[in-house]
Amino acid sequence: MNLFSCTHLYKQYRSGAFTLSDISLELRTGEITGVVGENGNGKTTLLRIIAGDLAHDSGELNYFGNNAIEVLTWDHIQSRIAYIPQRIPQWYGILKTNLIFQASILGKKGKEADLLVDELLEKLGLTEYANLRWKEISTGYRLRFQLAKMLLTNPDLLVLDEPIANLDINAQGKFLSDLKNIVSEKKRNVSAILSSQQLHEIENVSDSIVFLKKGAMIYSGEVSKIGEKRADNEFEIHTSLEEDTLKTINGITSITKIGKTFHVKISLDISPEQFLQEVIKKGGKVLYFRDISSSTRRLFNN
Amino acid sequence: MKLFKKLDNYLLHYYPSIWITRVHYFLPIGLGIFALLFFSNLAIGWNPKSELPDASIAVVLMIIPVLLYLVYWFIFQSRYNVLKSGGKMKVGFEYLNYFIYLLVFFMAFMIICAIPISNYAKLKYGVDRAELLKDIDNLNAGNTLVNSTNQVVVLASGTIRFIPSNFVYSDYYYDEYYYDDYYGTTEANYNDWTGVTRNEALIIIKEYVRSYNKYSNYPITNSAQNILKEHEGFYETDTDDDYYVDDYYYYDDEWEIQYKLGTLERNITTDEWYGEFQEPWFWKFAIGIMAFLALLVWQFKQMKLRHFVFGFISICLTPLLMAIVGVIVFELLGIRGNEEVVVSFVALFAYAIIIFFAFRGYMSKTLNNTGYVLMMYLQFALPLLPMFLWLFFGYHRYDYYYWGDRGEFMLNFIYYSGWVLGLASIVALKPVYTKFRSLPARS
Repeated sequence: MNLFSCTHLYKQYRSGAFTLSDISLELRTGEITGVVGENGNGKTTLLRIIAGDLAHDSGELNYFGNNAIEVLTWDHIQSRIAYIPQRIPQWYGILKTNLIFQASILGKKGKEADLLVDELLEKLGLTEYANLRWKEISTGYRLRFQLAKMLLTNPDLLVLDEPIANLDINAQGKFLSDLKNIVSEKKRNVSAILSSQQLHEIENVSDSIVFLKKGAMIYSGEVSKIGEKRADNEFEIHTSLEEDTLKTINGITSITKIGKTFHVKISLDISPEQFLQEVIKKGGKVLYFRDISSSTRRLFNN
Repeated sequence: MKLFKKLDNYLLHYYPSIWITRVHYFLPIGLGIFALLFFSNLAIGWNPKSELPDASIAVVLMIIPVLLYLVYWFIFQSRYNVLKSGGKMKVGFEYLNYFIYLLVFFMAFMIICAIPISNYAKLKYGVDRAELLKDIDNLNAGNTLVNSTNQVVVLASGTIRFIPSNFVYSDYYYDEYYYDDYYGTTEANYNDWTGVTRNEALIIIKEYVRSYNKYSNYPITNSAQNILKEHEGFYETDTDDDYYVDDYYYYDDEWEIQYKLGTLERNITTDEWYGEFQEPWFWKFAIGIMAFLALLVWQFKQMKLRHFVFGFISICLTPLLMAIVGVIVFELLGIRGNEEVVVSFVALFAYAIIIFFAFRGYMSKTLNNTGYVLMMYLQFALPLLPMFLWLFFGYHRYDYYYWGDRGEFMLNFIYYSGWVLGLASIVALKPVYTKFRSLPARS
């Protein structure tokens, strides 16, 4: 089911410094959509609009099976959306108590609430932390507890703003894999949209990607189709070779150095393996290599 | 503690909207503090020789702990919220919560009042009614003989003649026995001379001293004979003389004892031991203030923090705004006329403006911050609307001279209309707050 869709969405802040322009996208049940882009390019603005936290200027928004916002109330829309902002509000008291409270206010009484909470804690690997307090757990676990709390509301749509920004690499992996499992659960009928700067991790977990640059949607579509219509292959490499030596490799159309890493554009005929073989042939040591031909990473460089 | 934990767990699982009020902790704590203060003070007791107990310092001192009690409670209220966590609350629970907030404020108020009430209680139950009245009679009977040299004469026959004068001034006795005299309908005998034998006089003085010493830290040690002896130089020269009635007291704390016994006697005769606590308007006013505070907490639960803070500041600044408008209207513009009508007209005009902007904000498709804040302001001011309407339409028709029951009825009508409006606003504005809370912001 189409949980959310928007067409030609525009939003301009009063200061006029930033405009989110002509955004059209769809969020479907059982799918994860990643929103990527540099800081200040409209990711949070877009997510806040979807979550009903921020008003848009023009464009059409539809929720839960193509219902226009005119036929729904924002109270109803928000009750079916779980929005986790970048800065999660602090919890007070014992964590499990908070979850039972959440279950209880949503109509799960007595043991039913206990069972539901225990099941969720178990699923998210939080059981051993359930009787701790907010300040006694790490950022990663705070996020997971917040997710647990949101899941208790049985949402149709999860909107997560930079959820993994402050997590270490292991915590990022764990959180994203949990998210993937939750969205995949058929009984939940839930969809998720999340923003992040961790392109590789987001691409790994997402079904679709939206790339925003200066408020405009540069790309929106399936992850597997990124770079489908590209003119070149694009690689990132950190090597012992000098730029001049790299330039001698056949098929290279451009090289840009960002820090110690070269961003190489090369003919579509040259595969990553062939490129690496050429580097090694020229006596270069490869310290880091990534094929970004089918990644939104390449969009950052253009 | 186990019982509390059980109760806490039960409320958490079955009545989360009551659980978050923390009434199951704060009410027993409040009652405990009240009982501790009340009974500790009662246990200290009261010595009739000392002054009447004064609670003013205790009341001032209790303000800080009570504020802590309320702040601590309010912190809990800010931590959990059913509505903002995605839950729903039926109107019945909204009212229940409102009255629980009111109960917490009432408990806090009772903690402040614990010492004064306890003081009154220890006077009421620590004083023997019959004994006190007997002592007052003794003091009144002997007052002239002990204290007034110029109203006592000793006749050659040994008869002591004197003008009786009360030691303890009593509204009650005055009203009961001398009311008619005041209007001259019966013969006045209050200032008449009276005569007793020497032995009778000595008994009267002894009884006076015995009663007096019960209430004084500076007992009279002079013997009855010596006290009477002081009058022996005065002889009756002209019984028709209008003696200057000026009691002359020998003893330092005479006035204090008079005040003390006068107060106790008044409490006995009118059975108003609890002073202002027995005054209905004291409670109406106090509970009215608490109702406003409870309404603020209810609004806090309905609103986003930022908007509530702005609304709260606006409410707090209202007296200042009123003063500024008052200066503009009465001083700068020089508008003259019936002040009540002018003030209430300005207030009603303000109501109209607030209603317009609040409901314009409500009709908006995006969050209108001004409308949101003004809606809170309007609700807070709504219980005062009957007062302004009455000031505008009805007050000037009342003649102060005929105030009486009709005026009292009108005040009660305004008071209870305010309550009805305030309570009705909860059910009426709940969906309005829900809409404001969910509307997307413009930025």
